[in-house]
Amino acid sequence: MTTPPQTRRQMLSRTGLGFGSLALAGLLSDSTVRANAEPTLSSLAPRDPHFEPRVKRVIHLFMNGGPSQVDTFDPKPLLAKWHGKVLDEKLKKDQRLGGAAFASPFKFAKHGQSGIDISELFPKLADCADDLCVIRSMVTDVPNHEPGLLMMNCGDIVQPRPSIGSWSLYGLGSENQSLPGYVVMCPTGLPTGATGNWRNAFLPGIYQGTYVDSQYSDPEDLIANIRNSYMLHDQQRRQLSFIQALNRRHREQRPDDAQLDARIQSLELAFRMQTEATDAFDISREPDHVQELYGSDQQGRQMLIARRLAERGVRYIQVYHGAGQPWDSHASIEKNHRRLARESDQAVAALLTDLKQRGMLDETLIIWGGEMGRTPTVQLPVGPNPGRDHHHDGFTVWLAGGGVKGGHIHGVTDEVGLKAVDGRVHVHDLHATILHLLGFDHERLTYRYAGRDFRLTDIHGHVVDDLLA
Amino acid sequence: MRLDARQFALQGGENGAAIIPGKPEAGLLLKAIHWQDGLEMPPDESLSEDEIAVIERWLKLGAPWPQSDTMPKPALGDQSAIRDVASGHWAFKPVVKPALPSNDQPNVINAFVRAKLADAGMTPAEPAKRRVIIRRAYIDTIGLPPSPQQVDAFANDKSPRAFENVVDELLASPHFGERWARHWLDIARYADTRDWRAQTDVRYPFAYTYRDWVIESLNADLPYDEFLRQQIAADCYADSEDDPSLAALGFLTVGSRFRNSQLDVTADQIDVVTRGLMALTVTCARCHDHKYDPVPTEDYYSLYGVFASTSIPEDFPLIAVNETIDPLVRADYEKQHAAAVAERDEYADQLKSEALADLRKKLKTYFDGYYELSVTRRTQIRGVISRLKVRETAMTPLAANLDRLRRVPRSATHPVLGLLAAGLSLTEAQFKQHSEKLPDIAANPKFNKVVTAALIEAAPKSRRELLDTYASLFDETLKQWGKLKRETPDAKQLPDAGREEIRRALLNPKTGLFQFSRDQVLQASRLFGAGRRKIGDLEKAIHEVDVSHPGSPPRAMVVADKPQPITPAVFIRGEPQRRGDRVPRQFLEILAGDDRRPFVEGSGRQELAEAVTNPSNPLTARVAINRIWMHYFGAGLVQTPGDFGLRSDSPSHPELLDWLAATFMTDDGWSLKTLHRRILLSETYRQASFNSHDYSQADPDNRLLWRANRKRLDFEAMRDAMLAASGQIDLTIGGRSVQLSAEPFTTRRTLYGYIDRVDLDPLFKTFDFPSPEASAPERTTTTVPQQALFAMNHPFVVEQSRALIAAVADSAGDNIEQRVQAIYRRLFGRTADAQEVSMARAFVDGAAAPQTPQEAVWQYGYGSGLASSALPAFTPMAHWTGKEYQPLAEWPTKFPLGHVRITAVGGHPGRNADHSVIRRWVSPVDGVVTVHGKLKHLRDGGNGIHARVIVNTQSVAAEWNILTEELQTTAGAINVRRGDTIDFAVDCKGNAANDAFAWSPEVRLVDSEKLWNARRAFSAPPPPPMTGWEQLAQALLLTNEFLYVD
Repeated sequence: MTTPPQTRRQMLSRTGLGFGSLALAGLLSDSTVRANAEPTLSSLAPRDPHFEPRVKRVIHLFMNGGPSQVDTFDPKPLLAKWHGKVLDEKLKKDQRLGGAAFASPFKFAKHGQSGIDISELFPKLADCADDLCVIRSMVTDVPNHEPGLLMMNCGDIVQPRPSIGSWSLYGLGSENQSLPGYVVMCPTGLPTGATGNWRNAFLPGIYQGTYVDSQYSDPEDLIANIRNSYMLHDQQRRQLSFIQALNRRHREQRPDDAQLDARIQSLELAFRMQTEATDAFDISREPDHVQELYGSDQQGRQMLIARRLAERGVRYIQVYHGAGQPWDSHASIEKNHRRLARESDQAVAALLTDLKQRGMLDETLIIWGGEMGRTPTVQLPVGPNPGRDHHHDGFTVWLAGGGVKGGHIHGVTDEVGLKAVDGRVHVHDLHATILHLLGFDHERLTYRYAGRDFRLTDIHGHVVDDLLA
Repeated sequence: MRLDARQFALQGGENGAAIIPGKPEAGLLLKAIHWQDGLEMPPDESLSEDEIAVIERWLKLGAPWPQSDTMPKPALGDQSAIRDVASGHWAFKPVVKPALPSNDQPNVINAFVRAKLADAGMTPAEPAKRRVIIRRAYIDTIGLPPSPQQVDAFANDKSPRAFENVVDELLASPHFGERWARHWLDIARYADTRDWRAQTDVRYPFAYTYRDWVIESLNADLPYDEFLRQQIAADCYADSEDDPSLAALGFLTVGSRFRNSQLDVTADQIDVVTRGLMALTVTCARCHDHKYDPVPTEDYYSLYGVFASTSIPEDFPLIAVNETIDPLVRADYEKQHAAAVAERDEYADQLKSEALADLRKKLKTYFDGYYELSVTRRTQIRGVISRLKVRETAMTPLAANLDRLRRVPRSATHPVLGLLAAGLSLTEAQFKQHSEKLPDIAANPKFNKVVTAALIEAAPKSRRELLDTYASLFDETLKQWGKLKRETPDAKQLPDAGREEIRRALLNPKTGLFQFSRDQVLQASRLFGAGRRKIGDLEKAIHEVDVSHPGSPPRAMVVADKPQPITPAVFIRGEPQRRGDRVPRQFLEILAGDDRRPFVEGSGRQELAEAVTNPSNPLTARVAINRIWMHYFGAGLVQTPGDFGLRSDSPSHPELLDWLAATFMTDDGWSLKTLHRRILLSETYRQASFNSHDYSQADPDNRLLWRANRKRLDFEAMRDAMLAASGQIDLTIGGRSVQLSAEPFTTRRTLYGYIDRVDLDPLFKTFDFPSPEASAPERTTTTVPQQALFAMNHPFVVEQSRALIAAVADSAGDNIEQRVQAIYRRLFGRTADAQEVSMARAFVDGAAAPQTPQEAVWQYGYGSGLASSALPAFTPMAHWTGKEYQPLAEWPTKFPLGHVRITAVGGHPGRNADHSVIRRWVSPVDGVVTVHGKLKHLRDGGNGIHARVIVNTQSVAAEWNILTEELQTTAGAINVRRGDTIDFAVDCKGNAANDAFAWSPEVRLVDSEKLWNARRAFSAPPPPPMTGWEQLAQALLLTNEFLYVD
């Protein structure tokens, strides 16, 4: 990251953009934010957080729909004993679950030196076991998709609050002014909850996630109006030079108005963006062995794009498995989870491996997980193709990358996986921890709106120290 | 217990003082930091010894405390302390008209602003030049730039009233309402849809009537207090059910629906009324007392009671507005609406007749079902249907009809059904008791003889037997009727009078027991998914016509009081299941003062509206004036336009704000236009944006107004200015919203753009349009490259550039200087200076030939296909119909072209081999490709077609002859270099009759995922490249001079 500007003048001269959001700079030095500071281009300029960050960026692999914890990272052998039978009250505790216990159809094994349990669903990811920090005790408020997604992304199940990506961009700016700082990929459509998942809400519009349908790879989908269809590149350059000559004449007659400089600068940036953004999305520029590592399918492509964006300084990257809620295996969990895992295993493992090889894993936080988990039971009567229901108390999310312990398991669910009994991590706690890794005290990353200082974690959230390396 | 002021430290908490001066050891503070006596502070980890030593030293010094000239702030949420401070807060003080600072300034605004400037030793800027001030005034008041003629007329007007005349014209313009409506819609969080919700039609088809009401009200200078009252309670003031002012209630209803969370909808309504109209953040008190402002949580729930006693109806009323719907369009709407309704009714009728047929066939079974469902209530409807195999569409309506019979006391006297009704209304025990009396009762001559005879014979001992008896009776009657109708189709009645009476009791079209209404049947059919879906589709079709047909009549998005208003209880911590004390519906204490009385009329909305607009309310007028001021000057007198609470910014010119507010409410009768005029005519507004004295060190934010603030055009003004410059602008006022990004691009003003809350047009987001998720008192202003990309590359901007050039070419001809001057006048309202003319000339002269940047991968033409042929191998087809390419607009055309053309999926060859139809692929890569695709000759007859894959018009890679069949066309591998061509040519084999074909090939790059699919890529031809002049026009649209208002 570039050195933060120390003074107003330094900030202006470095960005070359004229008066910036000095109030936002103020956030970094003394933690006070002026109400609704006026952001300009420089409000996307990189800034230092509250303290030394552990990572520069986040890649959130969102397994929307909710993968089953007892079939992936949280083995529950006791379920085999109860398979097909209704759990007794002792095991059910206060959970209002109906249905019969359902043993995982997948075999588990311990992997890596750390011996992390991973089911046979993820053979390639298993090779990265020592990089994973598995949280088995995630908790969210409601066992349903839309509120679950909103909680995981925005920290509230109903109110339109800014997403964590927007908060991150607001706090840190972007390291690449030619690309959006917050990119969301989802192939073939939108996840449940649609654009609400990456909204800026009351934060300025520039902090909203930019959605890309990653079944395509056209830069047009990344940045609107990125391509000119009316003149050659050289002609456009010539046109821009003409505009800037007029703008300079205009500017000379109007001393002391930095907003005019910002506009002049934004035109140049826009011109450069046209080529740079195109590059970012063109995975055909990757050597064959890299393309092979990721695989040539949808997941492989979007993970590879994610890495290219990370490399180019995009601050927050979210990658959804697919439109709607693909991991929502109410029926045929064996068949469906196998298919979903097969689709993503290679690509996710490739992303970890590739980032590691490039020395980028240490400065990146990878998050893998859904908006909730699935019940260890199936509904009665058990049909021929059983699946699992929604479950929000004790599901698994794993982290990898900078600042988190590799080869570590945090938290414990009870013997059948119905409830997180030790080291519970609410989504608010996860948010606090992510912001911590980005260098923020989650209680001080605030924005004044409608008379109140809002923050991602509202009045909740504790950094989970046990996850930190 | 607080330590942020000395007095609190001395005062201490429950356990005693934190600091006792002169006795450092005695205070609790030191004990706490030493973790003594059970006090452990800070709780997580004790301070280091050094840190403790520092504090000890300080205590020994007597705990010196820096003097502060302000009272310490009250503790968070300490409402009584907050109220004390609030009583002195400027915004909560009554509005009193202050004395003028001097009398030598005719304009009061000048007087106040000058006085402040003089105090600071500053002088205001010179008046802005005429060409500058007229653009500023136009953009600010109507959101459109002045025409060159308007600029010239004003620049040359010698009258001392020249500017006043311009202002009066602008305020009388119907576009004034449009400009200021948009500002208002930010506050009203206006959108044309609700929030996202699965399987929900999110559209608000009639939101536009609210928008139009705002425009009209502002144009009519509806007094501001009434303007607000209508938006909160128009239903309470309306003269009739179709009163146009009902549209004002959109203020409460165009917001998000928050996933149907009623609590949040109510919170949003409270927010838009309190923060939106009074800049008070009342919703902060939803979970607890307000932390900073004098709003106890009880006050939030008092207002909650008002809106929770109000509901949004399912169907919105029609309103009698002066709509401009074309009668033909209206007639088409009526027709389509009627057709959709008829379709649903037909379906209902069909369900009904099937249901009745089934009922007649299995009458006894249905009566069994009724017994279980309604008499014993042993089984629920789903159980009855699955066990007895009856139809829900007959069972449910029959049960409803029988239930009604039992409920209505009068039915007991019905000659046919009376005894059934009476019997069923008894309990089983009562029935047994009474069953012996049945013969006596039945002897009553008012009862039908056939019925009584059957009952006496059967002598039912239970309700079950009673039903059986009636079932047989009905069954027999209907059988007789059926038989008679078969034998004598025109029979009108049964011969036996008793039987006929029974028949009528069952089949009378109005009252018959076996007559079901459409609604009954439809309602019943919704029980199962399939029926629900089908009916849902039919009703959606009706709704769709209402929603999307441009001729559907306007409706108002109203609210209505619930029949019974609620008395709210505080929800502790905002949780509805934790009820605290009940509170009356009433206004905010801090504003109502000691006179506060509970609301008594219905929900209390009308009383709320009156309270908001009561002249004694210190906030409403100040807030409104500050917002209007903000739009004219680029910053408010108070810089927190959405928050006038204790943490708000203090006004830069408090006396001016109060003078304006007082005058507004009393002398001016809440007239907004008078206020606008006052501001526009002030020298403060008219000063230049440049001051020869540079006061930017002393007052960098220009709060004292020593010059005008240069403002960037907001999104609406920018897009409108582009349309105005190009001459394309459509100045129609009002009507349904239009999609801004759909092609062909609308030329309507930007405020009519469709605002989709779920998926906001990216254009809005790029240009700082506020999120419609909540009331937005001000917009942020960002300058980001995405905005520049729009201006550089968006086809809309290109269209305006072209239109501008076309227009000046008409008026100015070919003379370069005249053209440049015409362009400058249109865009900037001024002439170009000599250097600008020469720059423009150089730019146009030096522009290279227009060229399209990327060569299209797929091209469409006809020809011989081979370079070796005497006739051209490939001639592009010049005409695009919107769906297909053909050589000329005329089609089919003369020999040898004939029917030649290409569609997305296929085409038709010309009439000889040299007029093959050719789909050409131009390689964008170097590599090896294969080609694939299905070829199908579509018509019977003729002699078939001949298809070839030709590389670089040289070699035929593959060919096929085909007649009324289908085959896979695979060819390759073919080595290509960038720019090489692969032609997919089809000819008619000498006879072009019946030669339509489907062939939409795909080219695949070997060892890669890359492919080019002809059908997917099929589209309109690339736009023509821009000429030098068009580039010039676009360049000028991109200048800062265009985008900023001095």
